[in-house]
Amino acid sequence: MSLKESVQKKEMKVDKISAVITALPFVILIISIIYITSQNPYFLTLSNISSILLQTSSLAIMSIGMTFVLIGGGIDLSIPPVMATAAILGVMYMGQGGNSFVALLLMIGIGLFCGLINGFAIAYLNMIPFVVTFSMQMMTFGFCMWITNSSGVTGMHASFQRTVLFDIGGFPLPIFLMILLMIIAQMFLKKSYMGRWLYLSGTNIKMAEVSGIPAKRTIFATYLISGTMAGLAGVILSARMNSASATFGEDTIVMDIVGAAVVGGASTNGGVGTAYGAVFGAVFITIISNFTNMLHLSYNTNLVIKGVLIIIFVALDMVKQGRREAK
Amino acid sequence: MKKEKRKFHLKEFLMKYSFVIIIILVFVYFSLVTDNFCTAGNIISMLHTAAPNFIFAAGAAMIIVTGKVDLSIGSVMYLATAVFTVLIENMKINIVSALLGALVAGLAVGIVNGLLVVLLKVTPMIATMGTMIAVRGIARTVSGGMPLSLPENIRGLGTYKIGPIFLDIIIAFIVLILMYILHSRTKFGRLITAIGNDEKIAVKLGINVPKIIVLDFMLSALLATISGLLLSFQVGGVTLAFGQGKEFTAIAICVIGGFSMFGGTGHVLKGLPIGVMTLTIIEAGLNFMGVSPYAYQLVQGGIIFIAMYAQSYQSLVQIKKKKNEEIAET
Amino acid sequence: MNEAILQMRQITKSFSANKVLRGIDLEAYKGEVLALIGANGAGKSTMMNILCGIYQEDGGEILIDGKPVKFKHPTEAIERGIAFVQQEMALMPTMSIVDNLYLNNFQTKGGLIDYKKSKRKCVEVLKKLGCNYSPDTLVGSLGAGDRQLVQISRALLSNPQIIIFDEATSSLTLPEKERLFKVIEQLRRENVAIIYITHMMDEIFTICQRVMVLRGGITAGKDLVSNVTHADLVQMMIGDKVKELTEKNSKSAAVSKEAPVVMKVEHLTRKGVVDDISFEIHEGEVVGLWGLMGAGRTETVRCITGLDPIDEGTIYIPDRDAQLKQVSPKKMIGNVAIVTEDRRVDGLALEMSVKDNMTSANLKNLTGRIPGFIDKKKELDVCETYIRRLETKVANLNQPISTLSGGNQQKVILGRWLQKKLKIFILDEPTRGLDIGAKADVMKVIRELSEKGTAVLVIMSDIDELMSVSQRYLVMHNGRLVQELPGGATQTELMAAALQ
Repeated sequence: MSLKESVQKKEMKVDKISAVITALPFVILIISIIYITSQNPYFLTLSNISSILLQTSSLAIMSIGMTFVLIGGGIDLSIPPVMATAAILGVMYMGQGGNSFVALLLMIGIGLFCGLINGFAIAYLNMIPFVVTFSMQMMTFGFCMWITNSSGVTGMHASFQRTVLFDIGGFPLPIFLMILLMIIAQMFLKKSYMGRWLYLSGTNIKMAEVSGIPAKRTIFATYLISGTMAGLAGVILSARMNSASATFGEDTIVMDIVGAAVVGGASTNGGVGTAYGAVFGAVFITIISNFTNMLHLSYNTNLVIKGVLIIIFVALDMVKQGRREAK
Repeated sequence: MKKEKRKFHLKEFLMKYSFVIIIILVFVYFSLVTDNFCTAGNIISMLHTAAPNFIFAAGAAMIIVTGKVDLSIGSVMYLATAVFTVLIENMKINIVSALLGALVAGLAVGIVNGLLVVLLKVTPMIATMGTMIAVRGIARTVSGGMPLSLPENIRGLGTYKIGPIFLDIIIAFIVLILMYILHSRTKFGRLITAIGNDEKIAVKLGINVPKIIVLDFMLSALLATISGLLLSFQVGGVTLAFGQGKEFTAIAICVIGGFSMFGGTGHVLKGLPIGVMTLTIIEAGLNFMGVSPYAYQLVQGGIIFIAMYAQSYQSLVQIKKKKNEEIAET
Repeated sequence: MNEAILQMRQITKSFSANKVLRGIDLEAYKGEVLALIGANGAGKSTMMNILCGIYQEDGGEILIDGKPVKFKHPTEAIERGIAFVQQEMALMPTMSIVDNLYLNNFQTKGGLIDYKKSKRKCVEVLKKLGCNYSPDTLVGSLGAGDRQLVQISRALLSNPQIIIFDEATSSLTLPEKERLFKVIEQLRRENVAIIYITHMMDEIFTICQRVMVLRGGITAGKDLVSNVTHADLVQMMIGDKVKELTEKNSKSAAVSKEAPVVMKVEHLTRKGVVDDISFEIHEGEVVGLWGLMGAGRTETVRCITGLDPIDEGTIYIPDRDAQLKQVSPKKMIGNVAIVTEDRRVDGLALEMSVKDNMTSANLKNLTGRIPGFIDKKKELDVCETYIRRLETKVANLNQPISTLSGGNQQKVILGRWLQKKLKIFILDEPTRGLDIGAKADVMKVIRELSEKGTAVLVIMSDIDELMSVSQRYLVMHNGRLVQELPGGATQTELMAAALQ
């Protein structure tokens, strides 16, 4: 057998415990879906699936952005409030009679701009990702609260909403956008040389530099991507809600995003993660929320479950990492 | 040579004392712009509002000194206060037992945080972010998902004065002094600083690093508990958003006060008051000017960013300076 | 003559199959400084690590004051009065001197640290070392020399009878060195036994009374310093092997100076690390960068390749028209291949696959029809080609590189650069930690590169290996390029040049 053929065989020896850890979210997801369906036969109808996927889409897009940052070994806590800022300013702009298309560009541009600041401070000023994105989180969240006076902003153009939520065969546009972005991101990460640069930089930045890879620029780019994704998510969420508010950017949402990325296989240690995983993680988090809602668990219990889940998944990831290193 | 070193570097000076200068400027500005800002009464009332901040920030500082972070502070404040209020109001238990209950609840979270970091090797940021969310859920469950108010007699403690000074200012002062002593004069304080310098060397030197880290997270939770109780006495009860965002305020205070997020540096008495007062004065000033309280958060975020930049700039300058000196010696 | 306070008898130690110590006897006497010397890998450090309880000996015994001891942990050695001043700094820069001295042994009184007592003791010890710093001074604000003194102070706190200095002067300036020598002299007068590991010959004659030479895990000789000469010591270090002539045959003749220059370095300086390095390398030439540990070899190549910043200096490489042109060090990677000293630190992305590690430097050239996208077939072809060519043992290109042996990992790194067909290769310890077979393969690659006209700058600490490939030597000492020797230089000449 030639070496090239050997590549076809995915893994020669799979570590059992790592395999169980990887499979765990799938098992939980399937059990949840079976349970929900048994309680609610309408759950697996096309229209309900469509509505759940629509719910998932903005989270999924943000967790794709987060996955890029995590692969590069950083973290972006500012995604939700940046998304909220984009949504609010876009909707306000439309409320004042602005053009829908310009509003769309504005939303994405705001995300990109915030990502630019984050990325510059982290990659070129050598500041700590956690603190940089955290202060960005405070600034943008404060800005949202201030400008909206912590209430909802309306003024969304009907045309904007119609276009963004355009229905294709029973499924609104954001679902296709989510799938498209997922495929593009996955192709970029796994097939392009820049994607490989990112994995190498996130795994061992010194090695990347010794290999002549522009590691700083690569890390910088991840924050641009996460910012842009936040802007896009703002477009979708504001259209879906027909308004925008600062609550889009609450601190629990960042847990959902990190949770989705980690469930999807990204590691907080950097160097690992896929776009498919990020979307799967987002579906997982959304279904679990539906599941706990169905159990009539309170919002409070939901919080506990979310917090515990993320710790469990990160801890399991550490176990997996530890096993990989031990080999 | 000696004179050379003394040469005045404006930029360096500004970077080093930036926040002292900012406090003074802001204070002077608000005194001029508004009427009642620079009065003894207002200053005492500002300190009164700031008292709980001193306490939880001291806890956060002790974690940051090790190069780690505790994001569960706000939730611990909420949980401890909720437990206290429920025990005293719904269960009619005496105040001492209720306090004990609050302490146990707070310390339990601290132990969990420490164990997550030490045993499961979860990054402190993620571990405490998880507990932040989970503990908030628990606290809301404990309080029945409703705002609670404290009985009248206990609420009075929040505005209790000894002479002209509020009780909680005195408590905050005592805690600050104790933390200073703990940090600079005890084995524990020196060892957390050592861990913040270089955890690997600390292990090599035979220091029981895991034990110290767990104790440190317990300390942070303990201070958050005390701070939460004092805050609830001030406001008279527990709201649903009680403590939310305090962990971020704590980090802001520490960063402004010169505690490096990489660990190992910082001075409790010199740093924390600067951090707390910068934020308090700006908040009070904006308040006086009638600016939306939400604008304050925006400013706070900006301040952290600047403080971080000043820190990384300073460390760069120091590295350069030392290098030059070494060369000069040869 | 006094009795030996320390006797180590017939000490043996192996790491897996590698016999590092093959029965060594060592004695140290009160009030005397014993110089422990030997080429890299002779077993000095292992010997001292055993004495300090960091490693346990496989065989033999240690006697202190005639009584046998066995240390399972470093603290036990400290309790028996052995102090180790290590080469690398184990200090906390943001903490004060007194804190650093007492870090693992704070003296407390009523729960608080008894700073009064500690500081008094601290000042006492510092004074003894001729150091007038306040005990409150932050260690981070001290220069390298003073930091070294703080380490020594920490060692002195336990009032040791035996002190080991491991290359204590490697980071010190001349005045600092002299101060350290005074300290050692003073300790000696106080009847402390001192073991002094060094690479600097002159230091032996300045401060040591006895000398012991190790070579390949055996004792090559020991004597009073007054009985030996510089040349004797060099002879002991390299042994009396006479295979030098036969070795020469395997490597090609020196490249003539007429061959085009492929890299020219001028006045390369990084303050305090490397000083005014100038040299050129010709096409097809294998140049051995020789020197002892700490001479600045690795630092030199890191500066050339832009991995460390430089303060001064210019580097020239030929452009398309074969004219030498200045390039910034930041742009050197990609024009030169670099294999770094420590694979695990900056050579490999350990968690990633063999394939990913193999192609990391060449990804832009592996794109297919769609711009920016890697052509999978091209990538696998390249991997396969170089894996076969280097006879790398790999079962699956997707297996994590961490599962390969050191030799195969190194071959993957070589393959990474071979596929780029560059004109210059810089190899820093390419054979370190490899088994004999892999070593031979790496040597073969170097010879092949040279035959095809690639210039190779190679650092190897094993002098025999270096001599078997080099056609010219650049010898470094203390951050400077001190001598250039022809390919025909003998081991004695090389050693003498490096020891100065």
